Amino acid sequence: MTYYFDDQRFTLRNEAEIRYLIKYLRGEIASFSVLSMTLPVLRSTVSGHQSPIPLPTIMPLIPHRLYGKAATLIVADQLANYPDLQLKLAYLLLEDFLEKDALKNDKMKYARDFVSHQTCDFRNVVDFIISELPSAKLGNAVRFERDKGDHIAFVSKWANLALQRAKGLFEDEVKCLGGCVGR
Amino acid sequence: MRRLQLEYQIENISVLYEEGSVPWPNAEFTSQKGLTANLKIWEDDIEPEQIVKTWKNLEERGESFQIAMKYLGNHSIIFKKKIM
Repeated sequence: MTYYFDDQRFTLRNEAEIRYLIKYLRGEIASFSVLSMTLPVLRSTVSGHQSPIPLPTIMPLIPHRLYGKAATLIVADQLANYPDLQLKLAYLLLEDFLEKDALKNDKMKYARDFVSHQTCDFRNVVDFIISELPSAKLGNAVRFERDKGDHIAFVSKWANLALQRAKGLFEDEVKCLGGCVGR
Repeated sequence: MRRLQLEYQIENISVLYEEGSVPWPNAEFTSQKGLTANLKIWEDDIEPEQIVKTWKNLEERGESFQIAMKYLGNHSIIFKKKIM
């Protein structure tokens, strides 16, 4: 932290130094000096071709009360190989953002229920899943299997939709609270 | 001028931004080569007695920016406070 007082510049690292500085500026002590140091800078190298994007014109900021939701979305973004987990996380946020019954008969809820149980025999879920993904049928129920490509593709579609919806609601709330995520 | 300023060296940026500086209100972000950057945030007209409170506010603003950058795809971004 640097403090500029008229033409003087002070480097501050803790509250003790601030107290010391206040005393100095009040004339209670004759001098102020602290050790200055520069941290080593790590360098990373990148390869590949990527076009640079313009710098954000508005400073990206997320209000403190949305840190938890931001963290959930950040984690979900990193779970691209686990669309079932992405769907569950995004759905958690949708439940937070939307009114209690808003998702009651939503296909997204059925997709979430499908991945949330070892086998699922809820009538609406079974009907929907069998119509979209016949290979999930197991007796009178349905079952999600992570090693089946068609299951992953189906769940990925719903995970992406859920994430998009959750991000839209999240970004609206960021904006309402005076923040910005530069989109 | 009575200014309190906090400066971060930022590393491991994943999103490739154009090189250069952008001014924001009471802040300046400078994107550098090698996916690193520098952020300065400050408050003006700060009397010595206001430093502690303002310092906390600046740190909160830095944290808020850090989380926003992670949300924007910079999952491994590292912020280091610069001591000059």
